[in-house]
Amino acid sequence: MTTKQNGFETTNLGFSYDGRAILKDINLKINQGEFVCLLGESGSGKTTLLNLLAGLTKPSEGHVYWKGKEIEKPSAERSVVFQDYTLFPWLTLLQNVTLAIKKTKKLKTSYAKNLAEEYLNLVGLSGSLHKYPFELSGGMRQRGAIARALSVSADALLLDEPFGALDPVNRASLQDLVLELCRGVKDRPITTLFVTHDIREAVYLGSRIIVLGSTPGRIIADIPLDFPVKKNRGEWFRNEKVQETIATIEDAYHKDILEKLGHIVQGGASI
Amino acid sequence: MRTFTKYLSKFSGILFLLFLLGIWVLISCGPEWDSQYLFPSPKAILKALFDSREELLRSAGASLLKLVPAYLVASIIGISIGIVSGSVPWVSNMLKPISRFAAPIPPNVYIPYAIAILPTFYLSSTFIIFIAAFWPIYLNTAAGAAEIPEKYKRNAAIIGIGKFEYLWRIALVASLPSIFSGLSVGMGLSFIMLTVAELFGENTGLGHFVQFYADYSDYPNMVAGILWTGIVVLAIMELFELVKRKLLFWTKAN
Repeated sequence: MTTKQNGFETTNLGFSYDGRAILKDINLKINQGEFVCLLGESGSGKTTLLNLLAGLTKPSEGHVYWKGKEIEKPSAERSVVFQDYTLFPWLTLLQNVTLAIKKTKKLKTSYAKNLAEEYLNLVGLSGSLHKYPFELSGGMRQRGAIARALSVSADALLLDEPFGALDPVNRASLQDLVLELCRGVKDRPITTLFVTHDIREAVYLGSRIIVLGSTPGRIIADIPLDFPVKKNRGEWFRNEKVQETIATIEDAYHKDILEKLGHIVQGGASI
Repeated sequence: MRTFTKYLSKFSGILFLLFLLGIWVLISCGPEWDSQYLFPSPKAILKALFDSREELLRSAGASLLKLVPAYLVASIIGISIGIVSGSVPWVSNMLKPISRFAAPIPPNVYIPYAIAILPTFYLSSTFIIFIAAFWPIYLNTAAGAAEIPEKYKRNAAIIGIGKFEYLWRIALVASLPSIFSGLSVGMGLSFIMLTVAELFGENTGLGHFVQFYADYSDYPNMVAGILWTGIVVLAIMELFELVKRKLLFWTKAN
């Protein structure tokens, strides 16, 4: 039994923009090493919540903590991968990762460069070290972004629909990469928040799923997952428990949408 | 037939130039008429270009001696202030009223005053060129820095790039596309102001060369001066484009 240490914690967290409530009363605890998938339709405030945890946005109400301390500004401890590829376009892959390492770890350039190469190897980009982002495919750029996010020795990885713009094949292989990198490490658990609107992706990746309802964004479901090891993707998705979970989440989703549309849904309505 | 039209389209620029040259030859070599001497023949101009080559080179050198320092100072100051004002809201607010008011003033209206208060013609010409180049460079840089995609800013913040370092490591590089459009507008305007200043009161430079021979009704030399000015400007613009392409290679996909 591992001791569960606090990673993220929010208390009565709220965020409004232009007088409109985007998030309301979010009380959330994420332990270190958890892989939380944040599900929700567009406009449910998923990205806002991620930005709040990253320290990129300041809450309008309530508090956000990381390891017991209030989050005040962005930090390399909590690395972010965005959907739009955020490598600097005027730097090569290697230069991008080296810069991040140099800035966060205060290392000499030669050390930082070696380390950067290792991380790029880890994500399978050893052949493209000196390429610029515009020379790379979307999937490769996202691999680079993940390498950079990990290279700063982040304890937490916040991913905002990182594979939203990728084709299915790239998507699947990057999902496995993230799983391996974030959940595979036993000695250094990485706390991960993965924002997506793809239920299957969330179920496949997460150790826990949080569903946000919209207007204003609030937690409508919080589901811990405990599935067998993923060996064969197709087989795994045919697993009964997995399918049940997917159905449960879909129900929660639909219920929220229908309520918003003005329907009164009572206890497992038939559609 | 298809290949013929393809080549025609490819070389249409050169063909059109030759066509204009033909018209020019016809006008200048045709029957005598009153203002014939206003249209010297291409041959006369080539001769003028050759005979005055030393003076033309000296004029180009004198013009560049005014243009380059003024333009460089305008670029350095314009880009530096532009980056800071595009990135720091209070600086932008502070400079907005004055730039709104002063930027649209055509720089040539400063000429008489510049001549009155500055000790030499050289200084007043460089001052006018500086003004002409400064505003477009500053305004474009500031606009570019203010519109840097949020993603670069967030990224910089996450990997711990501080406020000061952000200015030169991120803002300066990310604004390069706008900086270059400012530099190019500024370059065009400073050429105009350079030659205007030289037509006015200078006794050196390309503008002066043209004005000088016009005063003596030496039209072959005058036209040669105009053509030579075109060649010099073209060469500088090509050099400029080369540097631009080198520095902006990363904008290809964006």
